[in-house]
Amino acid sequence: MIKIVEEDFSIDEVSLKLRNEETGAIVFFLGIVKAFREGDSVNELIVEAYREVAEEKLREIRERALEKFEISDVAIIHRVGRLKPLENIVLVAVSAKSRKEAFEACSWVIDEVKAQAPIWKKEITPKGGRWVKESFKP
Amino acid sequence: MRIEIKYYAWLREKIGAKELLEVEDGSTLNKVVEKLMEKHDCLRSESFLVAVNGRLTNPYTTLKEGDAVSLFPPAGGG
Repeated sequence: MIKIVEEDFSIDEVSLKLRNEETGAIVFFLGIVKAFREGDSVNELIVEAYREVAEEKLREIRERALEKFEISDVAIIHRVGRLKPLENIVLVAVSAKSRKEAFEACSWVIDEVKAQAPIWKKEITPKGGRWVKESFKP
Repeated sequence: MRIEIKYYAWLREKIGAKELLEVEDGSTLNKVVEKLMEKHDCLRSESFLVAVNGRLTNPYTTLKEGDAVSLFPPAGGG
């Protein structure tokens, strides 16, 4: 499952879609909007994507994860639009027979998403807007 | 021929959301990007990727009338 959406997502729904009779573990990574960063409060986070290329990149990352790890399925859902502190931004979910592979794959997938997908974030703080341009920090 | 150029994220804030560019028939993507870098100083100091009609494309691709070229920053990370 690959989605770029404006509305919030349901972790429970994703969890149900990723499981089958052989599933022993589902590992989730949930990224949320920080209320403070670099000494400033964050009033809002604007998330922008170049949707066509971002979806293609997310599909590639999912397919590479399925080849690289002993896992059953991968879901990546990324929100765009204007988000408030503590709202969900991104969900990565990985199902597998065992937790070890699921943990490793989930960590690898979110690192790849942050490094590869043309999705950008602009923080609105009391001092003004600023793009988050730094190298990604796992 | 006329090519539509679109910009994303901080490139859009510096240059604008889109513009139409007149180029010679048979121009390659590379040539169009060179022309844009001559036109917009900020593109010489920014890293960016280029797509044609929503797909990452070989720089030597020949463009045709009505193609949409998108310039966008690499992934934001964060």
